[in-house]
Amino acid sequence: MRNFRQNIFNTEAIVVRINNFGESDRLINIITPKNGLIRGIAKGAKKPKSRIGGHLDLLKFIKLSVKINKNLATFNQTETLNSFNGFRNNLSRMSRGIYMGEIAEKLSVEGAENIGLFDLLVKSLHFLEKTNNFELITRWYELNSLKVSGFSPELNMCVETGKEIQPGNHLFSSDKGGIVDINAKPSDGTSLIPASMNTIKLLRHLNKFEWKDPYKVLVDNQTLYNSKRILREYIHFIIGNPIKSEYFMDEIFHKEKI
Amino acid sequence: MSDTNSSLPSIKRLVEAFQRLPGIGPKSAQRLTYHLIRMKREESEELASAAIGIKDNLMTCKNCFNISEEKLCGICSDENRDHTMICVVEEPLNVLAIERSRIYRGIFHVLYGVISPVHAIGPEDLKISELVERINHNDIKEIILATNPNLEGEATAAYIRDTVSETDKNIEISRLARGLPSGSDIEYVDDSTLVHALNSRSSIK
Repeated sequence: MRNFRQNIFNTEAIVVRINNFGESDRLINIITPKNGLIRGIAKGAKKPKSRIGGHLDLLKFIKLSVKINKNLATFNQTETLNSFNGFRNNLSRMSRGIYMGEIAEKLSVEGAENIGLFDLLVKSLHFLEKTNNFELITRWYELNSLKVSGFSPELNMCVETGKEIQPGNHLFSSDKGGIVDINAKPSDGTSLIPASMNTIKLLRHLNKFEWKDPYKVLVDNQTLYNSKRILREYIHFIIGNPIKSEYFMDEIFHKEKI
Repeated sequence: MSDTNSSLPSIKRLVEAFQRLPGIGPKSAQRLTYHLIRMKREESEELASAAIGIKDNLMTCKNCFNISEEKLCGICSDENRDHTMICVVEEPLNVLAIERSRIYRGIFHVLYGVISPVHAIGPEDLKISELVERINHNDIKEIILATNPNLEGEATAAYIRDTVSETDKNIEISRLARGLPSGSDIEYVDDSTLVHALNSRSSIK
């Protein structure tokens, strides 16, 4: 948690949202490891000679000085640690990076430490830049962002019966938070998504934060699609709303498929 | 004048109206209102007439979607411009900025925004399909993508590049060069700008 006596501090951050404000200012949301989500203003950031403007771009990994005020924080003295330039000309990488940033923003709490989520986002953006396994990295990020935020789905025990899930095809329930044994369908009208054996295996494999070689894992399209459907619906359930950037990400994904 | 004047309905109404303008807070709105109170009636009428005139007289150019008083703006109807070169910008104000350089002789296309996934603004919300239609129905040799050099501007440029490349037209697609702003200090320039500036360096022999 932030030390409330410490109103000015330096921190690493990832920029996840930018809005123009007034003639030359920008309203910026950043994710930080020890202070969670911080909403602030960068005065004069739009001006060409601004010393901070160029550093405050979406998905840049930066170090900056933050002054906490009553409403919005003020951002100053920024330096870029990593621009992730490798994906700035590639729509596939960019759209997924923006999607990841928005999930982090929705899962973060102002003033609340979440070093796990911050490290995960940095690592995921790094993987996005270096590999072509976009879909898999996105699924890995979705699952682990939920995990480090305390919303990990149950993948080993049936959430209805409490018994260990046997190998085979089962179901997934977002509102019950995990796998439901195929033979134990709840009668309370809960929404269920098919979870094939390969999908459950993939989710269990992805449910590891330490992942050194994401580009070496090969998965068939059907399993990827199934896991995407499960994780998408679960994230919507946890966050309470769809993620706005998922529409553009899906559009780019479908364009690539044609 | 005392503070109780501020609660007069006429004054309150105008202060609230001014506050709707970008960058105008309560104090600025109040200052503007009291300035108008001191202005001559004719000057106030001229201001009101000019504000209404914008809504009555202005439209978007049917070709480039820039702001215009005619169906075709002054740039699109100028036969001395190069109509084979289109500069794609985000907003009408960008057209003004580029025209101030006095070096560009082509025509424009205004998108009215950028792709911004976090704000749920997608390609269908911009004038991208209209740009493709212009390309398909005219003799266009070059598209200059002049969206802002930030992530959303780059995403928009990349999307337009990919979409235009899918047409069967042989068109040069270029992006505005990036480099160091005049008067800037290299010490404070971000690494993306420096990378672009180094990659685009040119000989001065």
